[in-house]
Parts: sequence; C-alpha cells; structure tokens
Amino acid sequence: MTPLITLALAMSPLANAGVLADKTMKAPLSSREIERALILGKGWLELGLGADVKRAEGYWGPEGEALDFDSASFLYTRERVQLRYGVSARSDLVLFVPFHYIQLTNDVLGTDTSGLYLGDPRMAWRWQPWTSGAAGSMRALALIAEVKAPAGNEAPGSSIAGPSTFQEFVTTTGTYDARLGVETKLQEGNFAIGGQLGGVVSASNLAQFVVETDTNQFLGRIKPGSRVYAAVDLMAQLGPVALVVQPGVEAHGPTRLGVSAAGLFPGKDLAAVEGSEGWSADLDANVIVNVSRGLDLTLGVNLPLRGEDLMFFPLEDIHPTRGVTSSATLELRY
Amino acid sequence: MTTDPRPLPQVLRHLTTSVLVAATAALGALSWSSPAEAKFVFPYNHPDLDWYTIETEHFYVHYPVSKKTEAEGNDHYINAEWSARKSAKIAEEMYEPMCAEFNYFIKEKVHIVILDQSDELEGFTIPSWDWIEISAHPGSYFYRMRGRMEWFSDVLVHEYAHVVSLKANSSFAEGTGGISIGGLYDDGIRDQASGGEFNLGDGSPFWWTEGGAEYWSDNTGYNWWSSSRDMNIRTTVLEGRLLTYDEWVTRVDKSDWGDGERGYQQGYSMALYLRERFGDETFARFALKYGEGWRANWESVIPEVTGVDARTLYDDWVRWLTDKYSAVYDRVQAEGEVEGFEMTLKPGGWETITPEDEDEWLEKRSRDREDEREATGTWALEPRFSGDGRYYGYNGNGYVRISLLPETAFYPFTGAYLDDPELLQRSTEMSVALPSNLGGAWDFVPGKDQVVITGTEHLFDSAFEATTGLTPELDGYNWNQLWHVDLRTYEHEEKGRVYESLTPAPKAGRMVFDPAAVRPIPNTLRGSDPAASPDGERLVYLEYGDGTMNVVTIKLDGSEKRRLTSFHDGTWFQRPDWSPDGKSIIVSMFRNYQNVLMILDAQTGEMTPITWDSHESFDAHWAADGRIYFSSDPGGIFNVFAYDPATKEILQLTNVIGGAQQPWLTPEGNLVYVNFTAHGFKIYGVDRDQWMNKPATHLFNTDIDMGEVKRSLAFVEDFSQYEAVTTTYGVKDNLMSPTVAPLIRFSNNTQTNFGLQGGFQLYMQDYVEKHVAVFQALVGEDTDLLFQYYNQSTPANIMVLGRRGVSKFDFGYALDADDDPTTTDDIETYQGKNVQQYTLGAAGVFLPVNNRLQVGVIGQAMQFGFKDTTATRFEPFSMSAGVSGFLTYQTISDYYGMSANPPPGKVINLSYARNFTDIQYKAYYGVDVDDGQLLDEYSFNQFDLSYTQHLRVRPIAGWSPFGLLALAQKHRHAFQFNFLGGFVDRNVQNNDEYRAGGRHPYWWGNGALNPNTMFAGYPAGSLQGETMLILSAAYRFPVWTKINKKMGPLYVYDLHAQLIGTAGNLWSYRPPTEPGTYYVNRYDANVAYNPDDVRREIPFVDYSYKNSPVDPLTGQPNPNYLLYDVGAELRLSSALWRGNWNSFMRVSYGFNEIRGVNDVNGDNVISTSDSGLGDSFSNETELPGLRVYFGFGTGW
Repeated sequence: MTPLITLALAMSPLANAGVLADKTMKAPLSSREIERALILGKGWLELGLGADVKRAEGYWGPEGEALDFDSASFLYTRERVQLRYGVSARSDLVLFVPFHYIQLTNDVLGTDTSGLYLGDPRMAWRWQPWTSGAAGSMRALALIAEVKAPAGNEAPGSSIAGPSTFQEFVTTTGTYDARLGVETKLQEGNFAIGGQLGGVVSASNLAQFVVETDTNQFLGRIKPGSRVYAAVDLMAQLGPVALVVQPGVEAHGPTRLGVSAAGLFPGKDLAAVEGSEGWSADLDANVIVNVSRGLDLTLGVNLPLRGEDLMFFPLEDIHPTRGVTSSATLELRY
Repeated sequence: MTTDPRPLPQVLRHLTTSVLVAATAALGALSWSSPAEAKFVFPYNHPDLDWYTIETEHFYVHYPVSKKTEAEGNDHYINAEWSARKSAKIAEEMYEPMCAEFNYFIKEKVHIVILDQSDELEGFTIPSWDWIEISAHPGSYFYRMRGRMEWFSDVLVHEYAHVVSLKANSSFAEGTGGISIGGLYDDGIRDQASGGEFNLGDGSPFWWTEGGAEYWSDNTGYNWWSSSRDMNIRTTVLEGRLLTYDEWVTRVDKSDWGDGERGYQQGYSMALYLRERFGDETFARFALKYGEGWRANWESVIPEVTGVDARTLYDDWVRWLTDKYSAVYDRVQAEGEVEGFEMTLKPGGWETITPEDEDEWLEKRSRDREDEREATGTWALEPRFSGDGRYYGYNGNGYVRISLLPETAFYPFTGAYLDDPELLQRSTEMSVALPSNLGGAWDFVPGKDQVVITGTEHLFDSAFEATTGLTPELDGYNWNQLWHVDLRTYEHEEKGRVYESLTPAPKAGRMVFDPAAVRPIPNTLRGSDPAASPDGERLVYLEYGDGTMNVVTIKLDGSEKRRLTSFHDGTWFQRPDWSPDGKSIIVSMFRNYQNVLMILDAQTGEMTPITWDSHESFDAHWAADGRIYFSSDPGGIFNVFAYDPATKEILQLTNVIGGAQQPWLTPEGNLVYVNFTAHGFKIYGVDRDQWMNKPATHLFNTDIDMGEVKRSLAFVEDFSQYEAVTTTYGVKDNLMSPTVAPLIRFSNNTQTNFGLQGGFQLYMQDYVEKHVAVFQALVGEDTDLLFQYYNQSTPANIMVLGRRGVSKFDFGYALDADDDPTTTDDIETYQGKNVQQYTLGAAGVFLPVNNRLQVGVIGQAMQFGFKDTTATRFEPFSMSAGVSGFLTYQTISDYYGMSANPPPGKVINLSYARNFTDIQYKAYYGVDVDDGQLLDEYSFNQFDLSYTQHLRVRPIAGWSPFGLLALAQKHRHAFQFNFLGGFVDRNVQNNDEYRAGGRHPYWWGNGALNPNTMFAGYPAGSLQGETMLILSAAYRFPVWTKINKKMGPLYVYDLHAQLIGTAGNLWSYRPPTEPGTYYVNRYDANVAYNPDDVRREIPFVDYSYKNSPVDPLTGQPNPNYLLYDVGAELRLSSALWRGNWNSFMRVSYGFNEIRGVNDVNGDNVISTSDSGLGDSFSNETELPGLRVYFGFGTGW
C-alpha cells in the first residue's frame, strides 16, 4: 500500500469494513495530544515517518566548551521509521529503525564523503501500570525497557592508518544497549507536565571501527559508558496544536576499549579511555499538529546546550557533533 | 469443529545468515520448509468456482457457484446460494442477542464463508480475523452426537458466540496472536544447544470456550440441552469418564474416545450449573474480567466472578451431576432396565460374575479398563442381518464389516458365548471390511449376496492405486457415492491350507477387490443412506445439495432415478427404509425445528407423518413383521419403539440408561440396536422375549392435523431481500485486516556472538484464500527481511519469495607461523568481525495430485557477498541460480508427523535440481579452490531422496518372544527408519555441498537434516561432501502417558522416549597428491593442474577425507569410512495457553573423531594450521563425545 493511500484511509472518519476496519477492541484514543496517555491504546498501530537534520558547526571541547570546525562541514541526518503497536490495554511495543544520510566536506583537505546507511534499530516495551483517565485530568505513569541493536554500519573502510582515513561513516556503536526508564504525565485541562528518568547500559562488543594498536589487532572491543538521563516535558494545547518543550540532561561514564577476554565475559579486560566521561544538556521544542486521531504532524528543533569532547568522531551515538537539529515527523495511526 | 483462533502460520524458518563464515561460507542447499500451500481449509484450489458475496448490516456471507453448469456436463455442480442466504438471515437475527450477552457490540463486519466442495463437516472460526468458515454439509455423524439438524442456526450461532466471547476475552490486541519470544544458546565448547520458545498469548480453557459457545447459543434461544447432550454427559458421569479438572482445560490430548465431545458438553453443562447457582451472565463475565488485562492463568478470573475457586466449583458441579444422573438411573431401574447385551462373541472383562472377577477388573488401571471396553468398538453403527440370516454386518469406524455369522452365535439371543471353534474360524475367514463412511448407512440386497454402501467417489482403488496411493485427484472433489458390492468369495492360501474368504488375498500388502465386484452406482453422487427394496431391484437413498437432503429412488444399475421430494430449504432426511411390500418408505425428517417420522409413497412421494411432536424420532426401520422400529426420546432418553401401522399403536421395547438407537429386527425377530455408552457406540441385542413392550402411544402425537402438516411442508422462507445485496466476490473488498505478530528472538552461533532481534510477521489474505501474503522483518545486529506470496486461484499453487539478510559475526583466528599445530608457541590468536549479506529470489509452482502426492517446480537465484573491515561496500562472493523439480509423497500428515510418537506412515521426498554457480570474489580473482580444483563458473546436477517410515511394533507373524512384542504393540512402541541420500554430479564449491551435523529444532537456518536426530552426535554443519548417504533408526516408546496435570497455564500429558542411532557419511572429491600434478597456492592448498586429477570418492570404498582427522605428528589421515552416533531423547508433550508446547532433551554420542571447515571444535577460534593434506581445511578436529540438546517449547 502506498503512503498516499494509507494517509487517505487514516483520515477517513469511519471504516467499518475491509482491510482497515475499525475494530471494537480498540481502546479510546483522543484526537488531542494533551489528553493522550503515555502508551498507544490497545489495538492501535502507529507508523511514524520522520527526519532529523543537523548541519554541525563544530564540536565540544574537553571541558564542554563549544568549538568550531576549522574548515569542515558535517551534515548529519536521521531518517526514521517507527512502528508502535498497542499490544494490550496497558502496554505497547515499539520498533524504531533509523537510516542516516551523512556528508562530510572539507574544502581545505578536499574531502567530500557522503553516504546513506542503516542505523541502530531499537525495540522497546512500554508498560503503563497506572493511569487515571478522568476527563481533562489525565495522570499516567509508564515504564520503558528498550534494547538497541548494532545493525548500523561499522566498517570505516580502511584501518591501515587509523580512523582518519575512513571512507565510510560509522552509524553504530557496535554494541547492544539496554535502557530502563520511567515516564510520567500529569494533565490539567490544556496544560501538562511530565518527566523522564532512566539509564542506559551498553554491553561490550567487537566493533569493526575500533583499531586496537597496542596488541596489533585490526579490530577491538568497545564498551560505551553507562548513561543516566533526566528530562522534563512541558506541554500546552491550543486547539489542534500542542506545544512541547523538553529540557534534558545526560551524564555518562567512560568508554572502555581493548581486546576480548576468553570466556563468557569477553569485556572484562577493557580499559577506560581517559576523558571519555562527562555530561551534556539540550533543549527540545516541538509543535504537534493533531490533524485527526489518525494523523499527527510534528515539527521540532533540538538545541544543544552543553556537550562532550568529540573523542570518537564521527560516532554520533556516543559523542555528537555540535549543531542545531531540525526535525519533522508524520504519524499515521490505524 | 475447530474453533480456537489458530496461531499464525509458523514463522518461516528457512534461511539465516548467522552461519556464514567468511569466504568459506556454508550456504547449504536452499530450501523452504513451509508447505507448498498456505490454506486453512481448502485442500485443493477450486478455479472451477465463482464466489459471490451477500452483504448485510453486520456480516459478509461468501458462497461458491460452479462456473460450469450441470447442463454443460458438470457432474460436480454446486450452488450454495440457499445456504448462504439462510446463514445471512440467521447471522443478522442472532447478532443483537449474542452481542448483548457480553454487552460487546461488534463494529467490524464478520465474514462467513460457506463451503460446499465436500460432504464432510468442515470449518473453523478465527475471531480476531473476523472469519467464520463452515460447510453447508454437516457430515454423516454430527446429528448422532448432537441430536438436532438445524445445522445453520446450530453451527453459526455457536461460531459467532466464539467471535464475540473471544473478542471480549482478549487482553491482547486482535491480530497479534500474542508475542512470539524465543531463543537458542548454542555452545560449541560445551557441546550443547538449548532453546526455548513460547507465544505469550491469551488463554481460554477448552471447556469454557466450547461449552460457552454452546451455552450462549442456548441463552440466546438457538440451542438447548438436547437428549443427545444429556446422553453424553449422563453416560460419562455414570461410567466414570468425566474429564478431570486438569484435563478439560485444553483441547489437546483428547484422543480417547469421546473426550473431545465431552469437553464441549461438560463445558455446556458447567455453564448451566453456574446459571442455576450464580445467574445467566456468569459465563460471560469471565470473558470481561479476563479482557481487563492479561493473566498467566485464566482460571484466576473464576473466584473473582463467583467468589468460589475454580477447583471447588468443579467439584461442586461433579456432585451436582452425580446426584442428578444417579436419580435418573434409579428411575430406569425402578421401571425395569431393558438393555440386552453387547453383540460380542466372548465376554468382556467388565462382565464379571464372581466377586473375584470383579476385583480383578477393578484392580486394572482405569486407562486399561477403558481400552478394553473400547476394544469392542467405538463407532459401531448400523447393525444388520441379511434376510436369509446368514450374514451379520455393521459399520465399524467407517468400514462395513460383514461376517458369515448367524444370530444364534451371539450371547444376547442364546445366553451363551460362542463355543464352536470351527464356526468361529469360518466366520473370521468369511468376513470382509468394506471401506465406507463413518456412520454411513448400508444395506443387504434382498435375495442376493450383495450389499449397497455409502462411500466416496474414490472408495475402491485399483491394485496400483491401493499400493501407491497414486489416485489422481486433480479436481478436488471426492463426494459421497453409492456403491454396489458383490459378496463374492476369494481363495486364500496360508501355510498350505486353502480357504475361502469374503476378503481378497492381499497383493503387496493391500486389499484389492475385483473391480467387477465393486461398482459405483451411476447417478448417485452426493448420495447416502441406501436401502434396498424388498425385491432387490431398487434403492431408496438420500441426495444432498446446497444444505438440503431429498429422498430419491433409483435402480441398482443407476437408471430410473426418481426424486420423491424436492426441497430446497434446509430440510434434512435420515435413514430411509422400505415397507415390506415395497410400496412405501419410512424416513425421518428434520424440518422447521421438528424431527418426525414420515411415510412416503414410493411412487409419488406423498408424505404422511406417523409422529408430529417435539420428540426426536429417527433411525426408522420397517421390518418384515410389518412394524416400524425407531428410536425416540420421550422422557429424555433415547429408546427403541415399535409402531404398528395397522393399529397406530406404539410400544416401548427398551429401557436403557445410555441411548438406544438404530434398531433392526433380525430374521428371528430379535432386536439389534446401537447403544450409546461412555466407551462408544456399541451394538446390543435384545431377545424378543425380553422386550419391555410397554404401551407408549400416549407419549407421541399420532393424532395428526394434516392441515397443519401441509401448511408446514408448504412453508418456504422468503430470502428475496438478499438478491439486491449479492455481488460477485471481489478480492480487494474482502482482504482481512493485517495480522501483526511481534517477534523477539535471541540466538548465538558462537560463545561470543550473541544476537537479539525484534520485529514482526505480517500476514494477510482474502477470505476465500485466493491470495496469501506474508512479510517478516527482524532487525537486530542481524537483519532479515522476507516476503512471500501465494496465489491459490489456479489448480496449482504459485509461490513467490524474496528475502534479504545481513549478518554480523565475530570470530577468532589462530595464526600458526610454522603450520605445525604441535608447536603452540608460534600460534597467535586474533579476533575478527565480518558482515555478510544475501539476497534471494524464488518462485515455485506446486500441484497437489491427491492428498498424498504433490509435485512442484521451483526456480531460485541468490547473490551472496560480504564486507570486512577494509571494505567500503559488500563484495559479491558468489551468485547462484537453479531450477528444481520435486515430488513429495506422504501417507502421514505434517501435523501427525510432528507428534511425539507419530502413527504409521511414510514420507518420501524426491528432487532433481539443475544449478549454476559463479564465484565472483575479486580478492580471489573470481575463482575459489575446493578439493584441489579451481572453480569459477560451473553448472551441476543434484539428486536428492529422503525416506521416512514409521512403523508400530507388533508380533511378527504371531511371534512375540516372551510376549514382549505384543506388550510393545499394546503400548504403541514404534520404529522409525530414515534414509537420506544426495548426489551432486561434480566437484562444487563447499557452499554447494551437502552439510550434516546436529541441529536444534529452534535453529532457523539451513543445513538441518530431517529428522534432526540424524548425526546429532556431531557439530552442526561439520560434515560435508558431494555424496550423502545416511541411515538412521529410532525406537520410540511411551514412558508416562496420560500424565494429565495442569500446572498454572501449563498442561502436561505425555512423556515419550526414543533411542536413536545413525550411520552414514558424506563423501567428496580428493585433491591430487602425485608430485607434478598440482601446485600449492597462497593458502597452502594443492591445486590440480588438470581438473581430471581431482578424484571423486566412492562411498564405502573410500573414506571421507574431509570428515577424517589428520594425525598432527605424521600428517596421515585417520580414515572415517562411516560415521556413527547413538542417542537418547525424552519428549514431553504439553500445552501452554492455547497451543502445543512440546519440549525435549536429547543426548547424542558421536563415535568418530572428525574434522571439517573452520571452527570444527566449536571454540570460536579458527585454526589456520595447514592440515598436511594439501586441502583448504583447518586442522581442527572434534573428538568423539556427547552432545546435549534441550528444547523448551520448541518441539523436537
């Protein structure tokens, strides 16, 4: 089915027959963002299509200071496909698959490298054990468990002289990450406040992009540092338009590198990379247009406030470059 | 009828990339394990049918009409329009009351598909797919179990009750079927593989699901607790066969006689009990409570709704039932029980006389007692004696069994068991079992040694057909058909003794009748229940069409066909019989919620009722004494009555506690009838002197208002409103909502290479199954995308498949500087990581020749490549393509083939493929070396044969040492033999070679042998070659049957064990070793200057050099001519929530030390030491030892 047809069907008010029949079992779903709980209701399937675009102006110094590229220009995009399925009355499943179009140019060095890659998919289970559905006064609490798998590109193309000679962009840490978090939302009329708190732990894994020089390995094992994060969501709804502002902070431990150890714990011999830990802060702002309960359009911007040393450039998943990210998302629900 | 929501088609487990290892990847032979068709019911496609759709407010009803009419010569013309219209009307009438039961009013329209392609009861309901499929024909035995024939209202309301109740009960979103979660941990160091799999889904116990559907049909006014249902539960209670609390939760393990039907009726009875105790809505409230949120144990809703825990409630109900039926039995006994005796030639163990006998009987285990009681017949129906009294026959389990036996041989009429060995032997020899339909009526032809039977079109096979099963059945129709059979004698010889028999001497183990002696009666398609006229010239029988029966007479040669009735309104008839003068016919008629006996004029068809009331009166027999014997249920128990047409007086002849049906008067004037017991339908006899002869005229309405009868017969329902809403079936308007099953999968292929994948399987089809599509996406470190489409609108099934996979894996390299594995100081271990991809396309055509044989052609192409650290793009390694033809012959279905102890049968697969491979890898200059030969582009032929035979252990020609074989037969011990042979006609790159070794059933990739117990004592995929010959055998036996324990949501019922052994090998080609015939390439492999110097190994004459280890000191091979392994396995059969959840533990020991490609010893480090043989293999070996496999819910 083409996206156009899907869109038309999603916007149609009623379909009680045929392939997209409205099912009795479906949970109620408000057409207004502010009234929605943290999970998609039972029986709903949501397809999210979106893109994030960042033209990086520079990077972050060792103390979190903003530094500019000398002559490089780095375009980092993320094209997102997200499936969310309300698998039961209290939980939904999320499958998130990113792609990346990346371009690096450097007029001085004559660099002009670009490519489109698969990123790291994420799978999440969200469980909302508690909700209060009083009209105009919704309360919800959800727990989230998420796994990120290293499907992205990790072969930089040449390891002969280290990463500086790469011909390919790395779009994965090469590791599995597990995230556990809690989210909450309190709504009163046209306003809502929410929060997010959680942590991410990475398993170590052999990664093609890691050049291990000490023991003459052409591959190495990496274990990104564990992270904790917190964010606050502030939301207001005006008619079919919701405004969301989300300031957030994240702190992470040091990344560890080395060679594999024998046995069931191959990451036990890895050594921390000095200076690879730190913290960052940013601010998200989004405008959500609720076209119908079957269709939302979101436009957003992310402003980095503080970052960390660009130690693993261009590994955006660990140490992102500095730049404003603009985003747009279309969500179709059936 | 199957009504539980079916799981999604098994997640397709064909290919995966995780086994691929660098340039020596093992793609194996591409194959797909899915069936060649993806249909739920239609065993055949029916391009000869058009489909039409009636759309009503809440339903779509689809029905078939033949494209070619009868006038155009179509013998198999069908038009199910009336059935569809009747269904549409009932469906709309029931919608409101059924939804109100749950206060759950369904918005989505439900599709009802009417089947009329066969004369069997077929159908199912999948609530989450809004799909009900039912046959217009209820089959030949349905009414005998349920006792009513308002088929459409009965079945439709029942099925729609499933739709509403299970939707209301669903805690998961419809269409998910739950979440499939599985994992496999394969540890090459510890030589073990452990896997687990379960589908986290909704629960709903069998008794509640089916009993509820019966009950809600009752609550809404479409069903009632009929005498047949009462008969079932009454005998079940009184004979101690109630399903226990644990047993009745699941529909699996209901193979004991009657247990499936008991599950339905016990649930219905429980619902009635709860209605009496807690109110009408109790059963429905269970669904609403469960639907609030998933819970592991469905029964936990019961105390929340009723305040009483489920087990206590069950016990209360059993007491309630026991009290109720004990009182009934007391009443029968007070009136004087008249049952007679079972028509057996020797006493059963339960027919005890002395207290000692009784003690001995009671000391036996209950299941042994049940088996003994069932051994005298479970579906023993339609007893007859020939008019001259020489032959006795009945329909036993679908065979008309006839013996040369007078009635004086039977205990009921003499009071003594047969004590005449000569007569006994003569009767045994002079007997025959004619194939028929289960429950199909038949008759002796008066004055001739002939019978007429109800069969099917392909009832009697030729010798070739009987032996091979190769009866072409391309049109997909095998309707009922009447047959005229001569009871002729065939000469037999056994150990020099010649004797006569009614049964032909077996040819090649099969019974083949003389075609001249078994004749289909022309013009009797869809006919059943034949009865021969007193003059032996004509038949009266019933002819089916579009949900309706009519009464027809015809001459035995198929001429002079005369339709006595012409209903087209769902009227149903049953068991006609001629009057002694041949002028009239007695028949039972079901119409307008009445079940009465009618006399028809044999010439005009004019109908005169002899009963006109609310009783269920049927099974009429017009005996030579002029009286009509029939079965009826005044008082709630079926008994035999006799009606005198002259006086219109009725006498009750039997007074039983079970159910007396199908009476027949013997030539001596005694009564034989079918008595329903909890151990089956049994044939009983009552001596005429022992008949009850109780006046019963007052129990029936014989004073009939003929005006009312005429008005009733003239009534025709008006369905004209459906004309305007009937359209041609359109696929795009009748696609089901997509089903999305979330998948979560963990696996590893080495100790360090773990993978977690998440994704989904999306399934779609249209409601008459012309088009089926599956899309599957799994993403993780490995990505796997699959699309598969079936077109089932032509006689053959057409399949198109596309698949792409990307896989990452890590590994170790042990670089040996001096290529001498005995010196370890110079060995350095490095770690590596690689990414591989494949893209596959395939298309196939599969044609079912009959229900045993299928042929097909498949074309496929695949490109394989990989990317290592230094690559910027995937480098193509090889491209391959091929076309293959295959033949599959199986006498055992896939379903039973997967059971813990499959029944006897065989499966044969034969295939031929023409393949092409091009090595493209640039780093190798587009060539590769295998077995000393440079390979670039090559074509090859491949021949494969697999044969599996399941046999039951039994005495051999009566020989059973120490009674062991007889004991083994009793306990269903079984042998399984497997042969696997393959031949590739040239030296090929190792990706094209055969691979063998142990595989866990949860393995999703290629290279698994079937059965996977073959060479389970060796590492997976470790053995390879261009010639494969493997033989294996298994001896299987039950360890603990009828465990029948429920533990939370898990129900455990059987434990089997098997001992397994395998012998065989895979042979390949030998690189040249003569100096001057080869050079050594940069990978230390000998490469022949002349490819002819690469020699093919000869099985058994040569050892297999690839699979033979090399002495590290001498460099000499330790030859393996044959490889052996033995093993033992435990198989635990169980069910979890709604599905099977079978587990196993297997231990296998491989006797031979082997080597092979890459990481043979499973330590995740590939040794690069030169093997010393000049081939490209590593020098790793796997020592003889144990391999252990565990599977939890994975099957075996």
